Amino acid sequence: MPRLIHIIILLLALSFPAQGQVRGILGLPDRIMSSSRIGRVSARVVPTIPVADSSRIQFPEYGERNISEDYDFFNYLKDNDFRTDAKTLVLGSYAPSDTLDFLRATVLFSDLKLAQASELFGRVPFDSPFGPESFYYQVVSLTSAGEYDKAYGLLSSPSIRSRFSEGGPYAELTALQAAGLSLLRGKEDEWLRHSSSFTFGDYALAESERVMSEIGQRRFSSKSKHAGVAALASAVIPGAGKVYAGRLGEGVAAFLTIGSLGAITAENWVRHGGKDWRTILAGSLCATFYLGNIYGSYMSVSIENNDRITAENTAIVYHLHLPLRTVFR
Amino acid sequence: MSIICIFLFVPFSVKGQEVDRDDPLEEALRWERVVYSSDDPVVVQDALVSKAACLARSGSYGEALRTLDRIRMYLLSPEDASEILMLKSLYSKKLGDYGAALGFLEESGSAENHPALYSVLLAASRRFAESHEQALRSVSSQSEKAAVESLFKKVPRIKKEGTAAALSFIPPAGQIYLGRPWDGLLSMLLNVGAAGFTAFEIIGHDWVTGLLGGGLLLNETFLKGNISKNIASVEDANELSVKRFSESLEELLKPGLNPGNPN
Repeated sequence: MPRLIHIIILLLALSFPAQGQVRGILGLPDRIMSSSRIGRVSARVVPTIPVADSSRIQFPEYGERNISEDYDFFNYLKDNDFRTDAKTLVLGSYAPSDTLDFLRATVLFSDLKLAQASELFGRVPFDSPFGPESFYYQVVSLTSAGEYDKAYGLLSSPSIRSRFSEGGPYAELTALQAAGLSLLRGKEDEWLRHSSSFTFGDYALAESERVMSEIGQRRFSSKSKHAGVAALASAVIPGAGKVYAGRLGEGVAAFLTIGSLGAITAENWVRHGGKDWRTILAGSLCATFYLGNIYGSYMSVSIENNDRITAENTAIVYHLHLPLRTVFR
Repeated sequence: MSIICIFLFVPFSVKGQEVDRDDPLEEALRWERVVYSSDDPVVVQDALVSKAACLARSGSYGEALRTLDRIRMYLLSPEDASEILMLKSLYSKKLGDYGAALGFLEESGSAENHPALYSVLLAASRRFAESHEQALRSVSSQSEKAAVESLFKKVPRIKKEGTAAALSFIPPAGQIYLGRPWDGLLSMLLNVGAAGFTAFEIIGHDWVTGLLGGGLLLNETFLKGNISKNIASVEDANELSVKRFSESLEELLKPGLNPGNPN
């Protein structure tokens, strides 16, 4: 039922709320109040996961030369962040090998061509020298592309499970990635199972484990804000729902505006009577802004929750990638 | 012969390898390989210049500039250093960073030798008097000089935020100052309406309506719609007028530009 109400309100708003601002016709009074000098105090920027590039690179025909001859040169280019040169190098005609697939996938990953990078990482067998690195980068590529289930499927495949059933150098890294993906997929039981393997003792993983634990605690606690509470709060005290949503400036601006319009309506009522056009006009404006604030408060909590989840998901994806740079240095 | 000429136009082979002239990125990679494998600082410097030229040919001016930044300028002769700075200036201009382009050009010490380019960069940096002087130096015929004079009669006047803010207290003076008279007229009508409403209500002893309602209205029309909006648009107005003027000047001085074609 609450979901149905939410959908109806969204349809009434005519457009889906984007980050930061309440949109649609119903949101107009809210936007007027929020754009005041006091209201703008609440403005903020939400970090987002970079958008994947779905275009594909066409690689040339295989040649005779072995890429391992240029492996050091490739690392020199990569370490110095000469991305164009690294890309040009792996676009050359080389003999097929796991190394070639791995290096090409690395370049594609940097270029955010995640689907193609994932394919190439997936071609490298786990037992080859670049196998483990390719495997975990494939998981990160799929995760960055939003394919959480596919990425989790890789980590929970029987071959990987059996490989790490008795621990080993990558057991905790696997647990970290699986835990991160459980958070992204909203699976609390999986999260609890995987995060129980966190030791916080490995320097390459400790920071990421700490960040994910914090996010996990927030995400699965019942402390998240409810849009209905914000709407109710604004119905009782105009602007209170905005304050509840974490937008103090907008709350104060709404309180002052609606309070002023209420006072104007009251004065006109007392001086000119309830049926006078001035009372009706002021009252209508007051009601419009009052309802707009209730709607705006409701949507603000939805937007805040959405922004928080976006920021957390960005942090999770970042912390799935971060340890790989140290582990496979 | 300067380094630019040597490395932009002459060598297209590295260590005996024939280089595909059609693919500047592959060529750039070959030069990078020279940098990677050579211990001779002179060879490295030369390879970096060549690589930058290849990257510029591919349109990657940002990367070309970063490649030139890797050159150890203290190892170069003053003439070569000047040529490198000149290239940096051209690449920066291509990237639209006119301030940096002017800085490199002036640092190169050869700005006076390229008056057309210097004039355009000075104009984009709002140094119109110097730009005017250089523009006149860059043209030779009387008709061209007359065209330059005619253009510099329309030098944009740089608007000041303080003046715009002060004039905004008398709508529509602020908008007229910023070159938007119709916006000014609309703003004046809205503000007169809001002020009239406030005065009317106060005279009629509707104090709350007059003070609070008038306050809300004037906040929208006067503070937000007039003063704040005018102050916020000063820099945009300046940038637009300077951009238009610089483009006109660049068009006029086109034959004298391009001292060392970065492509």
